[in-house]
Amino acid sequence: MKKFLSAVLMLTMSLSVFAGCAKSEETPAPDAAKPASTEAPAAEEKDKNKDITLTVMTSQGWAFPAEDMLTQKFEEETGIKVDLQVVPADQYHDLLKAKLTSGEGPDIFYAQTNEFQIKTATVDPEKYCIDFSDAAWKNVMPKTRIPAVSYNDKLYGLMLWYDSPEFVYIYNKTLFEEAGIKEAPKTYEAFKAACEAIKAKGITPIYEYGAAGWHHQLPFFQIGPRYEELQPGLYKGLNDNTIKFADSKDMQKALDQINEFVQNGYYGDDYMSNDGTDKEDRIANRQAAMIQEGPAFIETIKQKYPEVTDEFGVFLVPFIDNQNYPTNPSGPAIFGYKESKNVEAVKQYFDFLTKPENLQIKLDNTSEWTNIDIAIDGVEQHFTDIEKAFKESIPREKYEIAPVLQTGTKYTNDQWMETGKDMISMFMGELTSKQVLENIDERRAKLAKSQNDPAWQ
Amino acid sequence: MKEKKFYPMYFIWPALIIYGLLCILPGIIGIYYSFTDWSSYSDKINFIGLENYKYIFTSGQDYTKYIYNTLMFTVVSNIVKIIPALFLALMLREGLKGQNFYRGVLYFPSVLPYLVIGLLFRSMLHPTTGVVNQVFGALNMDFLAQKWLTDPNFVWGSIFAVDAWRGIGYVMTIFIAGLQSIPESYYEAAKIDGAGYFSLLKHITLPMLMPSITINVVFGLTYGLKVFDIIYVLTNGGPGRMTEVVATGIFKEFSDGTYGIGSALSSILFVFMAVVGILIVGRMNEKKVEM
Repeated sequence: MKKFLSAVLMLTMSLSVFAGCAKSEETPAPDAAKPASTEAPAAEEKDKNKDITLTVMTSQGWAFPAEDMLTQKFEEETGIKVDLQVVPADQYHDLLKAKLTSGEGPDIFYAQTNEFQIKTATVDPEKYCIDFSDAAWKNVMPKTRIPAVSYNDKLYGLMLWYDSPEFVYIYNKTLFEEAGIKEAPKTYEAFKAACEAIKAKGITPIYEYGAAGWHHQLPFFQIGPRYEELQPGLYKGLNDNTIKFADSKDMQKALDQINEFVQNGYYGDDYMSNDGTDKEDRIANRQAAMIQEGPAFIETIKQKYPEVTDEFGVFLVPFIDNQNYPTNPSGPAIFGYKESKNVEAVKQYFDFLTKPENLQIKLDNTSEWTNIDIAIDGVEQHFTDIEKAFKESIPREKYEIAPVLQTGTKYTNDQWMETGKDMISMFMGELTSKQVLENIDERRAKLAKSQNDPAWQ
Repeated sequence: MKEKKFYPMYFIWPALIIYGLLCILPGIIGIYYSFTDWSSYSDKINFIGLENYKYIFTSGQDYTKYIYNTLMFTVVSNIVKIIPALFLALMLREGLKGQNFYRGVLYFPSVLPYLVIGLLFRSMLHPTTGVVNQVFGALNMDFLAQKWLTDPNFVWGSIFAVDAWRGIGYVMTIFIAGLQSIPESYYEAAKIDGAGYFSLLKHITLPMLMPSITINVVFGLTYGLKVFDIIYVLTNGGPGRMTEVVATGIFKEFSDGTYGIGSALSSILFVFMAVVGILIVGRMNEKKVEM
């Protein structure tokens, strides 16, 4: 008996040894040199600040190498320490909202926002955010972005984002040609045929990362202008609650088409486990042929994998034959916590971020960006030829129908992650496309009623 | 016989007041808020009756599934931890060479933070890059490779396995303490009478171990009903909403600012735990009387 028990115990011990053998993901190291500090303030000023630590909370998806470099430069210049807290993307907004509502908000935090959302769920600006209406950096932001960070005529946030076709399909042109696909797909049927041809070569057509929780729902939302194009007045109806999401046959059709892609295996076998950390590797090494990203992704691949000779291109998301530009004057913005013990230091940090030399550092060390959307001179932009040609190829009227769905309709972006969960449930066969839309309506009604929106009373 | 009282009753009042203020009162206030539209978007709080409960049980947001998942987790996680832990405890009291080392190794996962466990196992269980599937591949056993945390058929099994990996050492330690309190003379006497290993187990070890088993079941039930961390770090309720439990739902509602619905979910959990707790304590007191 003892021998048997010993053997079982040894087996258990041996198995537990494997627990530490997980393959680690490679984290790209910032490749740019550490920036030199600019004007050094008086030593006594630095000394005065040495006990101040600012906590900055951001999501993994927005934590570019530039953030580390800028916080380090800020510390060197001011003596104020910065504790940069990076939270996994799928948990970020829940954690941020829990911290804010419990009165333990970080001094500075990032939050996804737009014209409607600033007034709704994410941050409640009047309650939690520092009023920056008199800040000198107000004019750094272009006018199109001001509504996304303003509420009741007061400015609460700083949005530094890029002006590129956000989340279009990046594809391996060389691979497409080898598979006999002559041009980038513009219709759903052409898109499906391209995926089938790529799949036949044993390559995953589209790299998707469902574990991050925020990416796989993009195709549905980014084609918002197409829904409006097919049903004029849809956005208005959705915002005054005379039309429901579940009423839209086009949205249902788009969800069905996305689901068909998943069921056909165009996202591969492991899309629900992927968190996006290896996305460049998968595309550069031909493990996948397409990914939904911005055009700067192509530059990132060229820089990280100089040995790759494949050509890459860009095309619009073609579900329900969409050919509209994903206009989206929104994005993550930075806010200061009203109850912070270091409000002056927070203001100093915002002033620092908006200096032209620091904006340049941000752009130069964020490989995902080719430009930074600002309204001042003094920053050198890096638009690529592919990006310029792509933007020029789209007719002007295709920019102007409507912004993307999450920016143009109320209470939609607020439930981004929840909609993502419902879509995964649809992929697993637990929900139908109609039920996904009904759930969106239900959550919109819940949010609207809790805010006494007259359209939902 | 009348029980002799050494201390007057009012000695209990300070402790009772503190307990009432810190533990009972928040629970009752929470139940009150569950009948209101309390949210982060308005300073006004209105009484709305059973609306929040109606929303929980009738909306398309699957809250009833969260309740079912919580109960299922409570039952299964206890079974997969208590039985192997008992088995290991029995092995480790048999005088194995280096048993203290084994005890240490088995207890070690219990002290690891959930965040570390989540990162470790999410990486290990990745279908393409994770070490588990890679080992199967290296051994030409690809048919065993699975999408551990995203396949509906395996996700719960993976959660239970990781939870057991973390919790077995703790449960085992309680069992070992219980086993060490059983007098050796009982076994010696039984062996003289010709009892074998399984007879000793059935007639001496298990009956004498009942207090430890009860403690582990009580701890396990309260842990299971409140489960949050292990689910949050491994799947965050996914794939889809497949592994959502009541506590993740409460977290979601509070972080959304819909406190009324969050309070209603909390109240359901509170009432259920109170009922289970009273039943278990009652049962334990019965046993005490019998003994």
